[in-house]
Amino acid sequence: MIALRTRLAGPFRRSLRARLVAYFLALSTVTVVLVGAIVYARATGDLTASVYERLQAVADIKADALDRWVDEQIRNVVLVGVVPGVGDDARLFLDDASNAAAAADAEGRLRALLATLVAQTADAEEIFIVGLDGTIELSTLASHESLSVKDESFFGTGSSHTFVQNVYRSSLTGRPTITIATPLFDQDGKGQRVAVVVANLSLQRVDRIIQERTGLGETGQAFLVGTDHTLIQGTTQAQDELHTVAADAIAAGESGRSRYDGSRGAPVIGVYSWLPERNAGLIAEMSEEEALGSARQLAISIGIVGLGSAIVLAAGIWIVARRLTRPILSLAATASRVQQGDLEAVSGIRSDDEVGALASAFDDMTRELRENVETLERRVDERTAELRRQKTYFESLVEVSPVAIVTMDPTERVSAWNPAATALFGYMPEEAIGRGIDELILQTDAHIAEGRDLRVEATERGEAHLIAQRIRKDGSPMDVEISMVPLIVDGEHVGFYAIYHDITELEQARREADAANQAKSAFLAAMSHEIRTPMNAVIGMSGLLLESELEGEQRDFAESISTSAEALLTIINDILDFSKIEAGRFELESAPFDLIRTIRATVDLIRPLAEKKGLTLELVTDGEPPPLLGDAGRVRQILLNLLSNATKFTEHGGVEVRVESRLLAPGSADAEGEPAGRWAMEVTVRDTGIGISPGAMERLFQSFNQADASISRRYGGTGLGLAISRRLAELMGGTLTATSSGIAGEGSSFRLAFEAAATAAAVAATPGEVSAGAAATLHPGMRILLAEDNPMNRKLALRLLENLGLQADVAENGAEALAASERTAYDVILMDVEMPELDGLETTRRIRTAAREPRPWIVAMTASAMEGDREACLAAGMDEYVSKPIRPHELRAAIALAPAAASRSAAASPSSGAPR
Amino acid sequence: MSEVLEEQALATLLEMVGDDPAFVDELVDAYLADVPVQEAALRDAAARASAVDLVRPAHTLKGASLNLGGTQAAEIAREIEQRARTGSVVGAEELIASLEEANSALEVALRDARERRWRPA
Repeated sequence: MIALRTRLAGPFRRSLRARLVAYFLALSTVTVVLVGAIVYARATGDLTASVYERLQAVADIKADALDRWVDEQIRNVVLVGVVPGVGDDARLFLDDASNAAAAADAEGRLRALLATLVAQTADAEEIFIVGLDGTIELSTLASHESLSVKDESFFGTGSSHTFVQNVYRSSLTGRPTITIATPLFDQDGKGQRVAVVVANLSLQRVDRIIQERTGLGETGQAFLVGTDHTLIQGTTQAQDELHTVAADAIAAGESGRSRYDGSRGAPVIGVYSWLPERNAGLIAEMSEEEALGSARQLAISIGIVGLGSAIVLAAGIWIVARRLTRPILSLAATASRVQQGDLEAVSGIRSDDEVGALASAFDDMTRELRENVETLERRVDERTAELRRQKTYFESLVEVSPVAIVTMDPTERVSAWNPAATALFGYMPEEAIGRGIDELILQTDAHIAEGRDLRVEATERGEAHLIAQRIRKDGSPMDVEISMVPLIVDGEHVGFYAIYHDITELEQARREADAANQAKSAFLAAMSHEIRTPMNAVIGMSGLLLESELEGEQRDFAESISTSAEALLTIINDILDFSKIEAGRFELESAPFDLIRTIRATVDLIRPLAEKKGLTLELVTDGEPPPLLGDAGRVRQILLNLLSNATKFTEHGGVEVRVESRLLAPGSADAEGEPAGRWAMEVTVRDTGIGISPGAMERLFQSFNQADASISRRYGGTGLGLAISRRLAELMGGTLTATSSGIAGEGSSFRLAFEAAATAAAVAATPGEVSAGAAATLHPGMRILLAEDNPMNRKLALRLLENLGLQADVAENGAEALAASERTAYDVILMDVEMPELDGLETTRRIRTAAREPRPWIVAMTASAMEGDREACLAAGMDEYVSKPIRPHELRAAIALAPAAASRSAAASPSSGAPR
Repeated sequence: MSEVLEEQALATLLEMVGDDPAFVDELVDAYLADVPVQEAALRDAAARASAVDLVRPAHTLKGASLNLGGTQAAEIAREIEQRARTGSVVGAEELIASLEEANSALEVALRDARERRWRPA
């Protein structure tokens, strides 16, 4: 079924017509069959009923005829009895003994009568007279005379009244017969019974009645059947028996109708009537084939006509469907052409029906489509032309660009190469395009890796810039500035766009400028070194000189040398600082520091000077700020400058330092609840000195300016101090301002205001305590490690430490230093920066990472007196810095800053003090 | 051109070490022993055009010469160091040659100074 459906599916599905016809045929067949079946069933029912009625009528007629015939025979027999004289004759005949003659006469008459009777009524086979003793005395068949019928029922009953013995088998003839008997009475008044007249009827007449075919059609039959299933008929001797449903019913004495298998085995429709008076039953039956033949005929006719009509109609539908589907197919063909791009296709169907409407709509649609396509094509042409113009425009932008422009595909192959690129690199576009950019203008592996990094950066960050060396076609290198961006179209990375700018000359100029700058820095550093070293010697020597035994005049000279040297050193320091600031090379530190401690230390530093002049020196603090991030050294420098000025220019009264601090923005306190946020600081230095006149105030902070020319003569100084201080304050993001009434004795007031962020970090040391530390004795028990690879430097440093009363362990390189620092908790590590294997910076970083307690105080030692070295050392985690060649006082000062030096110095015994 | 040997520097050194000429002898001997080692390292680095490897020996020689007042040698060493730090080996060979000259001159001067027990002439 499924296979069939599948097989049919193709054409069946494809052809509307085939489906229409097939559906129609199926439907009409079903209808025809249904109608035929219904008609057949109905007709069969009707026919059966009418056949029953007909057969019943036939049976009734036959039964009636049978009854009438029997009645007639009875009358004939009874008539014999009433014929006048018959009774007497019979008496006479039988009583022959008394009168033989009369008996003979009577016999003759009787015989004549009986013969007449037999002749008249052909139906009586035999008439005889039975004597009262049951003997046949006289018969139309002489052979039967003298036979006794005493035991026959017709004799028993018939001797008293007229009796009909229905069909039975005669003992005389052996054939089925009906016997009528009636008694004979004598006539002469006595009315005595003398004999019985008996007539045996011939059943031929019954046969005729039964076999009469009226109303039985061609196959109809009628039977008279006895209770023992025997067929009752006069013509046959055979003991025919009938065993059908009807015969069974008759045997049971029932009447009815039924359809059953007839005597010949074929199905029949039959009616059976039990005739009690005849002691037999009448069956009338007709073969079903004949009875219902017309119904079948009718059904077949309906079927033939129906199917015939259906086929004819189907043919008609086929033709009509073809007419209907032809335009649809035509439309489909047109649609197919349109689909294949033939927008000129027109269905050409003109009709008013639905298909016509569809075709018309389709043609309209196609026309619209055609117009749209034409419009679209026109627009595309216009747009293409516009795009071409734009493309040409943009291409020309690239072409005429004086900058080398190169584009690459994602595999880094060159896809565009402008004339400037040709001019720059020497490759013609046709040489460059399609080749990897790396093989074109990069040569060494390092360069190729760098080029790859550049593209990675461009991809990741959206742009990348690099100044690097690239190679021309002729192999010559040049410096180029490369800007590269990834080309991204609709979110897809399609390559790179790079601009190359020849900066060989620029780069040359920059290198020269750098070199000049470096030379300048080197000069500054050298100057600082070269000048400070002899100055330190002068100061140191004069200090020593003053400690020696001197005469009064000699001491005056020595003091003068010392003071001048100090002044000169201050001036030199000022000039160097100022030139550094001016050159923008002054860099501020950002480290945690304690402002109040720094200020207190600075005040303490100036206190001896103030006391010497009999001035009061007060420090008033308002608020206690947390550790701040900043450059404590610069705060100290500014404050020292202000304080020394205040002391210098005040003869009577005193100097007051007031520190006010307040939290600006609370900020978010961190997890430990440590203070955070920004603090605003104000440090005011007020004196009761000579004051500053308004005119002088204007020039106060200018370089090389003192309030009054006379002042420099009187008080000395470069006049750079305030200028430097203000610059430093500004570098810190703060201000330094001055106020003065200009009246001597009322003095002046300088206010340093700046902001700083609070920090939770611990304060390492306070620079202000340097001098205090420097003045203090160094504890000889301090654990010191000297990390220095150069034997000579090692010896020298050890000797210098020895002179300071200190001893040190030695590490010859960074690795040894690291190992030693892990074994021993050193208070101070003197670290050479330039060491093989592990340099001083890295060693320091590792020691700091290990975070040992107590934290060693690491002092860098380096021969590079370059700005930046110090920062690098501090960044690596070092605490102090001394430059080589090492000066004893610098080394001492750097070691004295170590926390251990201060804490231990207090516990140090007097005898273990460092030698002076 | 700076001096081959700054007598004053030697004097300062002598003073710094506690006026102990014998110790200065030790220092100078250590220096003189180290010089050929560092020079060889410089030569080797220059031959390999390795700027990185020029830095340390130059730096060491610079520091050592400065300690002893060998200003000229120190300056040449500093020049080598600074150039090497910018990644340049240009002129390194010539500079090393002059450094060797300066070192030889310094050695001669030092031997002379030793005779005077490190005191200025």
